[in-house]
Amino acid sequence: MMQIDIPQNSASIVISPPLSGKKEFLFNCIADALEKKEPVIFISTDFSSEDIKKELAEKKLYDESCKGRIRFIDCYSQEAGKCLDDTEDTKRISGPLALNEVSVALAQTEEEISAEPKKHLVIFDSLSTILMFLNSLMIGRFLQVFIAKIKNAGGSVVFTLEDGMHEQKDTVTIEHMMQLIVHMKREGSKIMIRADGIEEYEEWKDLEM
Amino acid sequence: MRLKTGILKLDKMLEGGLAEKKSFLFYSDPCVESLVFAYKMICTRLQEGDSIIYFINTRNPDTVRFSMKNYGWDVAEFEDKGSFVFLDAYSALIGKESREKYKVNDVTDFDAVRDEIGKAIKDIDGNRKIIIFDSLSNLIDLCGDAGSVLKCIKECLPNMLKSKAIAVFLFTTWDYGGDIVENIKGSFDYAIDMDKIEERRS
Repeated sequence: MMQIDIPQNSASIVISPPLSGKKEFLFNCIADALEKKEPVIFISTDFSSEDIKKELAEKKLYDESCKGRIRFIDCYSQEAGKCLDDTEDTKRISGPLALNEVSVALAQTEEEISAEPKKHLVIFDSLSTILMFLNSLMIGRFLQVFIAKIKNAGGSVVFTLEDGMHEQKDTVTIEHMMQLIVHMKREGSKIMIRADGIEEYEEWKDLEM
Repeated sequence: MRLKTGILKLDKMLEGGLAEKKSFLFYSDPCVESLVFAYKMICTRLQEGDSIIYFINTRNPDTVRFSMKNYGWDVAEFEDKGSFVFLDAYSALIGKESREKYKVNDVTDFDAVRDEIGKAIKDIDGNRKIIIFDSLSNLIDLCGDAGSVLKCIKECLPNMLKSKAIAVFLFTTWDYGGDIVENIKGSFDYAIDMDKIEERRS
């Protein structure tokens, strides 16, 4: 289903302007992981896990059969003033800037998925929320630990970042830590995609949904 | 005199608990859940009649209230009595209006932080006053220079700790490189590795 395979045990980032198809790309990644029977951990900073579940359900990616295969780390709800408890598949943390809480919640969720290192996909949507308030040095330190922990646990991670919202040096600092950098744009109703470092995707192509 | 934290292993390591007029660094590796120990200590000291000033720059004070309540430690009663107060350095960071009595508009403005802490210490009652800094790592990252942060803390501490006050700094040991972490550990009267508490607990 995917046009671009997320490399195993890697860190990737999707950089594109708002509303240019990042969600669609992420949903493709999730569909692909589920097809391969790999668990998915979705970390959201801008939407509640309930909203993400609804969107996934609309794409037929979240139903009873997915239970336990998609977990959520909700960095949004408490910050937005909704003091909701954790659920079976959702951990809620204080807010996106509580970086150690994010790391702790991820480590706990990975342990719940499997005691042993095991292939899984972590989605982090979006780094822009953090970069709006914290500097790139701070995020760099966090990412260094965060990515290493995911790789050690057998996983891969896909981050998202809004294009044009941040200073170039901040974007470059983050890009430096990634193995795959995906760019996206909209042309009419089409979503176009290209990836740095993959020869066949050096030019813009349609994203297959 | 030592003040029990309510955490057996920690009290043992500290030979009875927190010492008056001293500064403490509680540090832990990333991905280690150490906040719960701070919450437990806060709850224990409040019940013993002490007062807490909770400086926060990582999340909204309401989320701390909610988390503590979830652990079974509701601070509402102590807030009503005035023995538990927040010094909110977070809301301004994300551009929100703070509802807390004590707040700063710029987390990197040490003079403002020091003045607000001074005001809170003066205002609140309690046997002893304990100031919690959550978190030192965020403060250093936001200021961008550990050296200047430590210098300001060293200048402020004597004034903060006079009478019977105690200062506790929470610190996550992200990869700061070089000697920075060792310098930070050496800047306080006590530096406690919370990972050891976690291991012993399990």
